[in-house]
Amino acid sequence: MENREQQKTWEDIKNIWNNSSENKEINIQMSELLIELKEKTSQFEKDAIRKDVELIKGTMSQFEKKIITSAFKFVRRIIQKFKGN
Amino acid sequence: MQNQPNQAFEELIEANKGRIYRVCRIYAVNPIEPEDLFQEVVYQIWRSYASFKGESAINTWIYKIALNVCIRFKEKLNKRNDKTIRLNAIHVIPKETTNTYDDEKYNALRSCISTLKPIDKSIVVLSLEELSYKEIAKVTGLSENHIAVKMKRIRKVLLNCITKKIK
Repeated sequence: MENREQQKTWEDIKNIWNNSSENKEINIQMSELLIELKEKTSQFEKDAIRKDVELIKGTMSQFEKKIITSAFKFVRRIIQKFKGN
Repeated sequence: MQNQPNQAFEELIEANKGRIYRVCRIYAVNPIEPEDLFQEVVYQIWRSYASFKGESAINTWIYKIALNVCIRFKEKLNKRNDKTIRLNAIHVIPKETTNTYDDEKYNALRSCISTLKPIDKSIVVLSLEELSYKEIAKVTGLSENHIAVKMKRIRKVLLNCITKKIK
Protein backbone atom coordinates (compact mmCIF):
# COMPACT_ATOMS: atom_id res chain seq x y z
CA MET A 1 0.00 0.00 0.00
CA GLU A 2 1.47 3.35 -0.99
CA ASN A 3 1.74 6.08 1.57
CA ARG A 4 0.42 9.59 1.03
CA GLU A 5 3.76 10.92 -0.13
CA GLN A 6 4.11 8.14 -2.70
CA GLN A 7 0.61 8.86 -3.96
CA LYS A 8 1.50 12.53 -4.27
CA THR A 9 4.71 11.62 -6.15
CA TRP A 10 2.68 9.49 -8.52
CA GLU A 11 0.37 12.46 -9.14
CA ASP A 12 3.49 14.53 -9.86
CA ILE A 13 4.62 11.88 -12.35
CA LYS A 14 1.25 12.06 -14.08
CA ASN A 15 1.47 15.84 -14.26
CA ILE A 16 4.97 15.66 -15.74
CA TRP A 17 3.65 13.16 -18.27
CA ASN A 18 0.57 15.20 -19.22
CA ASN A 19 2.64 18.33 -19.65
CA SER A 20 5.16 16.57 -21.88
CA SER A 21 3.22 17.49 -25.01
CA GLU A 22 2.70 21.08 -23.86
CA ASN A 23 6.19 22.32 -24.68
CA LYS A 24 5.54 22.03 -28.40
CA GLU A 25 2.89 23.33 -30.74
CA ILE A 26 1.81 20.73 -33.27
CA ASN A 27 0.45 22.42 -36.38
CA ILE A 28 -0.98 20.23 -39.06
CA GLN A 29 -2.07 21.59 -42.42
CA MET A 30 -4.74 19.00 -43.00
CA SER A 31 -5.47 19.49 -46.70
CA GLU A 32 -1.76 19.33 -47.48
CA LEU A 33 -1.37 16.32 -45.17
CA LEU A 34 -4.01 14.32 -47.04
CA ILE A 35 -2.36 15.06 -50.39
CA GLU A 36 1.05 13.99 -49.02
CA LEU A 37 -0.34 10.82 -47.44
CA LYS A 38 -2.11 9.81 -50.65
CA GLU A 39 1.07 10.41 -52.68
CA LYS A 40 3.22 8.45 -50.24
CA THR A 41 0.76 5.56 -50.13
CA SER A 42 0.83 5.34 -53.94
CA GLN A 43 4.62 5.50 -53.89
CA PHE A 44 4.72 2.78 -51.25
CA GLU A 45 2.55 0.53 -53.40
CA LYS A 46 4.72 1.23 -56.47
CA ASP A 47 7.92 0.46 -54.51
CA ALA A 48 6.41 -2.76 -53.13
CA ILE A 49 5.42 -3.91 -56.62
CA ARG A 50 8.87 -3.04 -58.00
CA LYS A 51 10.57 -5.01 -55.22
CA ASP A 52 8.33 -8.00 -55.94
CA VAL A 53 9.06 -7.83 -59.67
CA GLU A 54 12.84 -7.69 -59.03
CA LEU A 55 12.57 -10.63 -56.68
CA ILE A 56 10.66 -12.66 -59.25
CA LYS A 57 13.17 -11.77 -62.00
CA GLY A 58 16.13 -12.73 -59.79
CA THR A 59 14.48 -15.95 -58.73
CA MET A 60 13.53 -16.87 -62.30
CA SER A 61 17.10 -16.38 -63.52
CA GLN A 62 18.39 -18.54 -60.70
CA PHE A 63 15.77 -21.16 -61.49
CA GLU A 64 16.61 -21.13 -65.18
CA LYS A 65 20.34 -21.43 -64.40
CA LYS A 66 19.69 -24.42 -62.17
CA ILE A 67 17.60 -26.12 -64.87
CA ILE A 68 20.30 -25.54 -67.49
CA THR A 69 23.08 -26.72 -65.15
CA SER A 70 21.14 -29.91 -64.33
CA ALA A 71 20.49 -30.51 -68.02
CA PHE A 72 24.21 -30.09 -68.84
CA LYS A 73 25.20 -32.52 -66.09
CA PHE A 74 22.69 -35.03 -67.41
CA VAL A 75 23.95 -34.67 -70.98
CA ARG A 76 27.60 -35.02 -69.81
CA ARG A 77 26.74 -38.22 -67.92
CA ILE A 78 25.04 -39.65 -71.02
CA ILE A 79 28.07 -38.75 -73.18
CA GLN A 80 30.46 -40.35 -70.65
CA LYS A 81 28.34 -43.50 -70.72
CA PHE A 82 28.50 -43.68 -74.52
CA LYS A 83 32.28 -43.04 -74.46
CA GLY A 84 32.67 -45.74 -71.86
CA ASN A 85 30.71 -48.18 -74.05
CA MET B 1 -20.08 12.44 -49.13
CA GLN B 2 -16.64 11.58 -50.59
CA ASN B 3 -14.97 13.94 -48.10
CA GLN B 4 -16.45 12.32 -44.98
CA PRO B 5 -13.71 9.68 -44.47
CA ASN B 6 -11.05 12.36 -45.06
CA GLN B 7 -12.75 14.70 -42.62
CA ALA B 8 -13.09 11.92 -40.06
CA PHE B 9 -9.38 11.16 -40.42
CA GLU B 10 -8.46 14.83 -40.01
CA GLU B 11 -10.59 15.09 -36.87
CA LEU B 12 -9.06 11.90 -35.52
CA ILE B 13 -5.51 13.16 -35.92
CA GLU B 14 -6.30 16.62 -34.58
CA ALA B 15 -8.04 15.17 -31.51
CA ASN B 16 -5.22 12.72 -30.77
CA LYS B 17 -2.09 14.63 -31.75
CA GLY B 18 -1.19 15.38 -28.11
CA ARG B 19 -1.47 11.74 -27.11
CA ILE B 20 0.53 10.58 -30.11
CA TYR B 21 3.22 13.15 -29.40
CA ARG B 22 3.59 12.13 -25.75
CA VAL B 23 4.14 8.52 -26.75
CA CYS B 24 6.61 9.53 -29.47
CA ARG B 25 8.52 11.78 -27.12
CA ILE B 26 9.17 9.06 -24.55
CA TYR B 27 10.42 6.67 -27.23
CA ALA B 28 12.57 9.17 -29.13
CA VAL B 29 16.20 8.44 -28.44
CA ASN B 30 18.96 10.41 -30.15
CA PRO B 31 19.27 10.60 -33.18
CA ILE B 32 15.56 9.87 -33.49
CA GLU B 33 13.42 12.95 -32.85
CA PRO B 34 9.83 12.82 -31.54
CA GLU B 35 8.78 14.56 -34.75
CA ASP B 36 10.20 11.69 -36.83
CA LEU B 37 8.16 9.17 -34.89
CA PHE B 38 5.08 11.41 -34.98
CA GLN B 39 5.12 11.60 -38.76
CA GLU B 40 5.58 7.86 -39.09
CA VAL B 41 2.67 7.20 -36.69
CA VAL B 42 0.36 9.53 -38.65
CA TYR B 43 1.35 7.77 -41.86
CA GLN B 44 0.67 4.32 -40.41
CA ILE B 45 -2.68 5.46 -39.00
CA TRP B 46 -3.57 6.67 -42.50
CA ARG B 47 -2.56 3.37 -44.05
CA SER B 48 -4.62 1.36 -41.55
CA TYR B 49 -7.56 3.73 -41.31
CA ALA B 50 -9.60 2.29 -44.17
CA SER B 51 -9.41 -1.19 -42.67
CA PHE B 52 -10.32 -0.12 -39.11
CA LYS B 53 -13.63 -1.81 -38.43
CA GLY B 54 -14.27 -0.58 -34.91
CA GLU B 55 -13.34 -3.85 -33.19
CA SER B 56 -11.66 -1.78 -30.50
CA ALA B 57 -12.10 1.77 -29.25
CA ILE B 58 -10.42 4.18 -31.62
CA ASN B 59 -8.00 5.53 -29.03
CA THR B 60 -6.88 2.00 -28.11
CA TRP B 61 -6.27 1.36 -31.81
CA ILE B 62 -4.23 4.58 -32.13
CA TYR B 63 -2.09 3.72 -29.11
CA LYS B 64 -1.41 0.27 -30.54
CA ILE B 65 -0.18 1.76 -33.80
CA ALA B 66 1.86 4.45 -32.03
CA LEU B 67 3.60 1.90 -29.80
CA ASN B 68 4.32 -0.46 -32.70
CA VAL B 69 5.83 2.35 -34.74
CA CYS B 70 7.91 3.71 -31.86
CA ILE B 71 9.22 0.32 -30.79
CA ARG B 72 10.14 -0.75 -34.34
CA PHE B 73 11.44 2.59 -35.62
CA LYS B 74 15.06 1.93 -34.73
CA GLU B 75 15.03 -1.39 -36.61
CA LYS B 76 13.48 0.37 -39.58
CA LEU B 77 16.25 3.02 -39.56
CA ASN B 78 18.92 0.32 -39.53
CA LYS B 79 17.61 -1.30 -42.70
CA ARG B 80 19.47 0.22 -45.62
CA ASN B 81 16.59 0.21 -48.07
CA ASP B 82 13.93 1.57 -45.74
CA LYS B 83 13.26 5.28 -45.88
CA THR B 84 11.65 7.29 -43.11
CA ILE B 85 8.53 9.26 -43.83
CA ARG B 86 8.75 13.02 -44.20
CA LEU B 87 5.42 14.89 -44.04
CA ASN B 88 5.88 18.57 -44.69
CA ALA B 89 2.33 19.36 -43.58
CA ILE B 90 3.26 18.60 -39.97
CA HIS B 91 5.13 21.29 -38.04
CA VAL B 92 6.23 20.75 -34.46
CA ILE B 93 7.30 24.08 -33.02
CA PRO B 94 8.78 24.71 -29.57
CA LYS B 95 6.65 27.01 -27.44
CA GLU B 96 8.36 30.07 -26.02
CA THR B 97 7.03 29.46 -22.52
CA THR B 98 9.10 26.29 -21.98
CA ASN B 99 10.09 25.93 -18.35
CA THR B 100 13.57 24.43 -17.92
CA TYR B 101 12.63 22.94 -14.55
CA ASP B 102 9.76 21.08 -16.22
CA ASP B 103 12.22 19.80 -18.82
CA GLU B 104 14.49 18.55 -16.05
CA LYS B 105 11.60 16.71 -14.41
CA TYR B 106 10.58 15.20 -17.74
CA ASN B 107 14.13 14.07 -18.46
CA ALA B 108 14.28 12.48 -15.02
CA LEU B 109 11.02 10.65 -15.71
CA ARG B 110 12.25 9.53 -19.10
CA SER B 111 15.48 8.30 -17.62
CA CYS B 112 13.55 6.26 -15.04
CA ILE B 113 11.16 4.83 -17.64
CA SER B 114 14.11 3.86 -19.85
CA THR B 115 15.29 1.46 -17.13
CA LEU B 116 12.12 -0.60 -17.54
CA LYS B 117 11.81 -3.65 -19.78
CA PRO B 118 10.15 -2.85 -23.14
CA ILE B 119 6.82 -4.40 -22.20
CA ASP B 120 6.79 -2.59 -18.85
CA LYS B 121 7.59 0.65 -20.63
CA SER B 122 4.58 0.16 -22.91
CA ILE B 123 2.36 -0.62 -19.93
CA VAL B 124 3.38 2.42 -17.92
CA VAL B 125 3.06 4.71 -20.95
CA LEU B 126 -0.50 3.50 -21.46
CA SER B 127 -1.23 3.81 -17.75
CA LEU B 128 0.04 7.39 -17.73
CA GLU B 129 -2.26 7.97 -20.68
CA GLU B 130 -5.04 6.93 -18.30
CA LEU B 131 -6.05 3.77 -20.09
CA SER B 132 -7.78 1.22 -17.86
CA TYR B 133 -6.10 -2.11 -17.21
CA LYS B 134 -8.71 -3.64 -19.53
CA GLU B 135 -7.70 -1.28 -22.33
CA ILE B 136 -3.98 -1.81 -21.66
CA ALA B 137 -4.60 -5.56 -21.84
CA LYS B 138 -6.22 -5.11 -25.28
CA VAL B 139 -3.25 -3.12 -26.56
CA THR B 140 -0.51 -5.33 -25.13
CA GLY B 141 -2.16 -8.73 -25.39
CA LEU B 142 -1.54 -9.46 -21.71
CA SER B 143 -4.31 -10.29 -19.25
CA GLU B 144 -5.79 -7.64 -16.99
CA ASN B 145 -4.50 -9.47 -13.92
CA HIS B 146 -1.01 -9.58 -15.35
CA ILE B 147 -1.17 -5.85 -16.07
CA ALA B 148 -2.30 -5.17 -12.51
CA VAL B 149 0.58 -7.18 -11.06
CA LYS B 150 3.11 -5.52 -13.35
CA MET B 151 1.80 -2.04 -12.61
CA LYS B 152 2.24 -2.55 -8.89
CA ARG B 153 5.92 -3.30 -9.45
CA ILE B 154 6.40 -0.61 -12.09
CA ARG B 155 4.94 2.07 -9.84
CA LYS B 156 7.31 1.05 -7.04
CA VAL B 157 10.32 1.18 -9.37
CA LEU B 158 9.35 4.55 -10.82
CA LEU B 159 8.52 6.10 -7.46
CA ASN B 160 11.91 5.05 -6.06
CA CYS B 161 13.73 6.28 -9.11
CA ILE B 162 11.94 9.64 -9.38
CA THR B 163 12.24 10.32 -5.67
CA LYS B 164 16.03 9.94 -5.93
CA LYS B 165 16.26 12.16 -8.98
CA ILE B 166 13.98 15.10 -8.30
CA LYS B 167 13.07 15.21 -4.63
